[in-house]
Amino acid sequence: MGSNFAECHPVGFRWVMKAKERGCKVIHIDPRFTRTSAMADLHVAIRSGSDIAFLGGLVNYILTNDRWFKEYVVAYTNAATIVAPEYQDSEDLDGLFSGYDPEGRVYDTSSWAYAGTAAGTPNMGHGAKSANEPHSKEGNPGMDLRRYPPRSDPTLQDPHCVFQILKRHYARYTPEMVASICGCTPAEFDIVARTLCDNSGRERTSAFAYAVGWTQHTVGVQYIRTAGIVQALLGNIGRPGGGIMALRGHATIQGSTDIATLYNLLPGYLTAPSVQIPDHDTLEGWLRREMPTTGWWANGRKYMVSFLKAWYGDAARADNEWGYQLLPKNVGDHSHMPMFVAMHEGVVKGFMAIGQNPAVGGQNAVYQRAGLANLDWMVARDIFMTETADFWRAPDVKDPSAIQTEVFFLPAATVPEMDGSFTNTQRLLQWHDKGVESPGDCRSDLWFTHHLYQRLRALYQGSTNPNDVPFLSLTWDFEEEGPRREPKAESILKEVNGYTLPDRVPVAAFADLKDDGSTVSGAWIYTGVYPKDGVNKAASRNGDDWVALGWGFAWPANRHILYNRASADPSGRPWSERKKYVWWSEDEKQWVGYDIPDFQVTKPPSYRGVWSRGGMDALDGTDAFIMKPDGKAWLFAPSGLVDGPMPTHYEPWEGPGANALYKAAPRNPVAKLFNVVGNRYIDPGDAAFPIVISTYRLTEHHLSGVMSRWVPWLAELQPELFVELSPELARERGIGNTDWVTVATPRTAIECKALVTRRLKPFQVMGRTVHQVGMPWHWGYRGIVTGAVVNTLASLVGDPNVTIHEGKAFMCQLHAGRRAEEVARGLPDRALPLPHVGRRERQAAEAMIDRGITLAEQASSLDELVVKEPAPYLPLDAPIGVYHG
Amino acid sequence: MAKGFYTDTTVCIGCKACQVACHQWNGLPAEEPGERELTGDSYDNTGTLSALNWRHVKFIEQIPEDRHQNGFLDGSRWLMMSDVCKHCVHAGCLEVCPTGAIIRTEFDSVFIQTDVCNGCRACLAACPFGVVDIGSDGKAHKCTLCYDRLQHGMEPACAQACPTDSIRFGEVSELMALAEQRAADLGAHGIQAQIYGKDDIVGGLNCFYLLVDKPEVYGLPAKPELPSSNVAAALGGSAATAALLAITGAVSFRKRRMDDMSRDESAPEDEP
Amino acid sequence: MSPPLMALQWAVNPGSGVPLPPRWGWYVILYFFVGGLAAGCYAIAAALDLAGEPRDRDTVRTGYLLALPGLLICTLLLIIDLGRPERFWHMLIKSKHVPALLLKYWSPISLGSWILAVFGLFAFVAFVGAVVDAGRLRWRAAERAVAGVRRLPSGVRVAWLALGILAGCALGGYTGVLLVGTTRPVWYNAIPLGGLFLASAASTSYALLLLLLLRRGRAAADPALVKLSDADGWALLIELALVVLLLLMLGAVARPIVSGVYGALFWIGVVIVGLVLPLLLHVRHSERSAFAGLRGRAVLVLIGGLVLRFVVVMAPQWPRVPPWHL
Repeated sequence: MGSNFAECHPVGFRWVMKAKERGCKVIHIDPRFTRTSAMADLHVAIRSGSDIAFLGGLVNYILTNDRWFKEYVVAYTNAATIVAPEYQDSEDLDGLFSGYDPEGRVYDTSSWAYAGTAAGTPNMGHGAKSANEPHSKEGNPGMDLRRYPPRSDPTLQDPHCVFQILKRHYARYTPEMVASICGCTPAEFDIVARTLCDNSGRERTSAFAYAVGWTQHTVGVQYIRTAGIVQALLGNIGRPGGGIMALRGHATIQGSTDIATLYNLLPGYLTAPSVQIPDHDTLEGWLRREMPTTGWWANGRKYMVSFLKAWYGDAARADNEWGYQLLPKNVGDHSHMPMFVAMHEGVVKGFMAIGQNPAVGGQNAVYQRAGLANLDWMVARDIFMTETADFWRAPDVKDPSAIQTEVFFLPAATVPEMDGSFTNTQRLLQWHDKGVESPGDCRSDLWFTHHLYQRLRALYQGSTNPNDVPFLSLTWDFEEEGPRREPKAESILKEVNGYTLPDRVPVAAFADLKDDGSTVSGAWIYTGVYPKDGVNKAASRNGDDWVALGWGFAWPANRHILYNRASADPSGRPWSERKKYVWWSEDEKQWVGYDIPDFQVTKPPSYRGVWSRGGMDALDGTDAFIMKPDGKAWLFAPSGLVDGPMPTHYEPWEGPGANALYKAAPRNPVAKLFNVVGNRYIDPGDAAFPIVISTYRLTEHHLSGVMSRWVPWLAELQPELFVELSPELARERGIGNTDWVTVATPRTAIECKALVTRRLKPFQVMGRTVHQVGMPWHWGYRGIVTGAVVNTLASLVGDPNVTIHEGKAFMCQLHAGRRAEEVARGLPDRALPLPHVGRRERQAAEAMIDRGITLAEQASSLDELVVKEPAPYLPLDAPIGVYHG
Repeated sequence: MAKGFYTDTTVCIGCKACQVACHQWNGLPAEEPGERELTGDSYDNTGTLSALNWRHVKFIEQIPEDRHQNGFLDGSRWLMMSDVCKHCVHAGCLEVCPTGAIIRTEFDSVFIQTDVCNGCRACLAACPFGVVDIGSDGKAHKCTLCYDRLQHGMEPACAQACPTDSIRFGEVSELMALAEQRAADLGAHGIQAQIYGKDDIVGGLNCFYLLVDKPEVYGLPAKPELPSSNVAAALGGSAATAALLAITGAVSFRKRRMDDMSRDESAPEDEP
Repeated sequence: MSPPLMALQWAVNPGSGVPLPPRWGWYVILYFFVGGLAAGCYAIAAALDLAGEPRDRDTVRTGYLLALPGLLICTLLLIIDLGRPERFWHMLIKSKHVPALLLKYWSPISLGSWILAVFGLFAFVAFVGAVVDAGRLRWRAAERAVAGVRRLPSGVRVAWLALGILAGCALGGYTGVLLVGTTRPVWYNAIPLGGLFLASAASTSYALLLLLLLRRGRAAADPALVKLSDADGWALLIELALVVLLLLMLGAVARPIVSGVYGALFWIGVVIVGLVLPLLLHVRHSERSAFAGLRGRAVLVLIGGLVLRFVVVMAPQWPRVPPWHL
């Protein structure tokens, strides 16, 4: 679900085919019949944005038909844990959960805590009033169960226990309701549910694979949560052939979140500190809030200290909180979309696009380009002149001289021209060696960053400004090689892995990391990849037909299946001979098996934890989910998420109509909104935009097309942008196959060709026909083959937990013929490629406001400057591309 | 021993890696990439095999109209098949080639020696599958079964690139056994599969296919012919016609003579 | 696959499951036409040389004078048509085993290259003889050679001319077979095509000879011309019969040739103008207008012969190959 495995991960899909060969049944649930569906045994089409309804329906089916794996659920999930009595569910409040503040659009999450633990459970709501809220590290909050332990009812009868809440929460997600919301039939739902349940249990397991079809929604995180609940109920987590696999978006993006190029994470999934969370003012406060006192994360101090030592070396000491105050602190949400809003507002003045192409890949791409036009300077580092590098002379910019941004283009090296590692979807690190030197001035990203640091450091040298101290305190002792002085990737890997001080011997396991400053580790989860000098496990290639422990290095500690303790029953015996994976050996008094046990290797199943001891001693020998404070898989999330402890079906922010289940909160009540000029939203069921649209990828192209539309062999395979639509919709609109059409959303209108196919079908949603179309978003205005940018249609709107955009479900209108200019002209408050207020004008206006001159007085006193007050709606006849009147 | 491809179309995901790998290995440029248009023929924008496209993935959508009431579960299929030169056991192109440029290699593949070919294009018309094409360099081109790679113990580029092993390379007899097994397995699951390229098809195809529908659905001829089949008969027809022309010619010439002779004997004043 | 199914599929999705069109265009069409004329003129001339009368001498000389230039034009056309013209000799000699000769008798093109070569020899000899006889070539060596040849025993001469006629028949009769030796449904199934092109070669050659002799001032009633005209009539009849036979044998597969614009050209240009009309006029034997005269009939036949080859070669390659393709 939420993915197109065969098309977007064709090489990985070979393993699905191998499984098929051995009798595995493949189910594909997707709005379109794709190349994955062609290989699937079952394909069920559902409307974009309705997956939680479907998955919730599965939960209901599993519970109602008694298909849940009882022993597993009771032992390994928090089904028995009792939740605070103040908790009110979305079933009680018609879509809302308890604790909602409608003015701040935020939840006070304390009523969601386990009964009796609220005092020790972080509250996710902060009372912040804008979209720029910070948020805590999702999923593993710093709960203090040592002092405030939870209570449970192993009989699962207590009305406040998770199990009963679960049952009530999904009681209305019947097959008929699922069919009504999703647009499938109850019979289709039934077959899927039955097949899934038949293939789960002691003897069999089922796996889910998802990708951005699930994540790119205003309820993206909750989508995955629902799948987690389904799999936990079926006993599919931690077992071979089970689990939930995130098919990451592109090569090594897993590594990108591990080593954290995301603003809200430090490497190893440590939360980046924020000034808006008072606890983050000190290291101790940070630890208190971010690290639970029980479970494996109780070791978090060791990882944070080792990390700080990695970055700040000698400047990180016991007497200065290990350099914690040197870390830059976030002041809000600095993810992609808010960053571009900040560009518009003149807050962000410089920007580096490194291997990134927001002019095509960014939501509301015209708005984002306009943000670039407001910068003072911009650097683009890429292998071709991308649309972003060339944003200032895009075809719809009538007057490039109106853009004052100074643009630098630095040519980059490609993967075969550098050493490095890839971390894939399975957390597997695989090393790749440089095969050829990059030509001319092209340089690797490591070279660029390394030498940028050297030069900046030289510029900062001798500064007495306290703001410069953190930068000057960074350790940077990577070895260089060759005439280009390329930083040795292996020496960076060694720092990421970690080593002891002062002798710099690599650390072999993260269990050996210390909080006394004697160890360094750039990312504790990777510790073990470089266990000895000269031994790079990521480069090892000893494969086999099963777990292949000798191939690459899977973090953590080369454990291939996480939580694999759950592949054995509470007594330590495998659930079945057929599915044995890791089990307790009474003779050796340790856990053994085909994988590295994801558990304390010598802790017996019989061990009974004591909460007050804290750490891993608080967890039983049956608590397989060691990263959770209570060692249990969370059917209910008492903390860590800002939009609800239970996933619930909310309609996409722009959707075809009412929410069949809830009236008070039909859409995510805490979704991140961006009420800025050029980003108009429509209300659900807006008749002007009645067609559901989703965006997706094709095998032949890659992302924003930089790596495929410049390659002739790939460009000719899919030369033109198209919109896929059903014959029913095509007939309705008088559109023929390969005709030109115009697709419009409130943001803009674009032209493309139509590909009419029965692989798309109209959906019957809540009693009426809802059409859906889809567009591959690979095209832009540069390359061998060019086309309109699809992401100009989407809006800036995001999931509140991680601010991921909602690119997979919104609404559009379809017109026959090439009418983009005309249609766009009729869109109030559409996005324009130049900022709505010029920078200089804005600065002048701000200066005047500072001096107390009102807008009205301004208007009459300024004749040479054109100052426009940002209007919520633009005049209908404003020409596209030229804004200054 | 004959080597070739066994293409199991039931595991083809239509990724076109075979097309790109072939272009890359053989250094074949793209066909006017900036000028190509969307064909509208499913995801197939290549159209046919050609002098530059030695692999061509076909897409056949088989989706019933009632899917919008009943969903896709019953009978919806999207067939995908990577077309290539079949390297026939009895190859039409090889038969007609007048320069001997087309030869059979030690791997039993059919290979065009482009240093011999003079571009007469008889092979284009002779291949019943529409494989061979004339290039802009005036010579005929088609899949070489990566002859250069085979000579170094490697497998063809497309087979190596195929992520799902839809294209498998090896000894034809061994591959055929695999295909038979697969057809039987599919049959046991209620899927009608047949092998296209046993010796009933122009004596056998060294690059054969496992299909789940009639060959015509995939654009393959159900009963391909060989160009030499009717040549003898046609030559016979010519001979017969020649004889007929000779006879009627002789009759016309003699008759005139007889008439002349008789006229000569008649009255001289009748002459003009 | 049955011809009708193949043809239907080809119509629906050209180039799929059927051979790619070989892009044989005007060079090949003209080659067929001129080749037929060269072959026919030589064969007729040789036949009359063998068994004709003194008054046929003009015909013989005209025929012999046409054969070689016609052949040379054919050869030139074929060479230009090749993708790599400089390699034309690869069809006669194994390019990798020079000077080993190469002949694949089951391949009509290979066979044809040798037929052209052999016929060329006969055409050359005939041409030299004709120009010497006409007094155009004042070269002692050539005159002595021709005289020498004349002195050979008549058996040799008969055998030579007989072989030459055979060579001419081969040239005229193999071109259609060249098209049959493919797998395009219209051509592959057109077994009578070899004979048809041969008959057309004969009828157009008779027509060309008549035209040239009329230009020289011969009267239409001249017996030498009349016998040509008669033979032409028979050739036309045979040709018409073969057209009917071809259409019957092709059945639905003939669609590209008999329908659409090419179909119109076929019915009007080939059948009516090229066959039926000349036949009717021949039977009516009228001298009243130039159109109805021998000259007019001859022109109609020539037009018909060219259009026949045009339609047969181009129609089955439509739409991938346009009608003006060289």
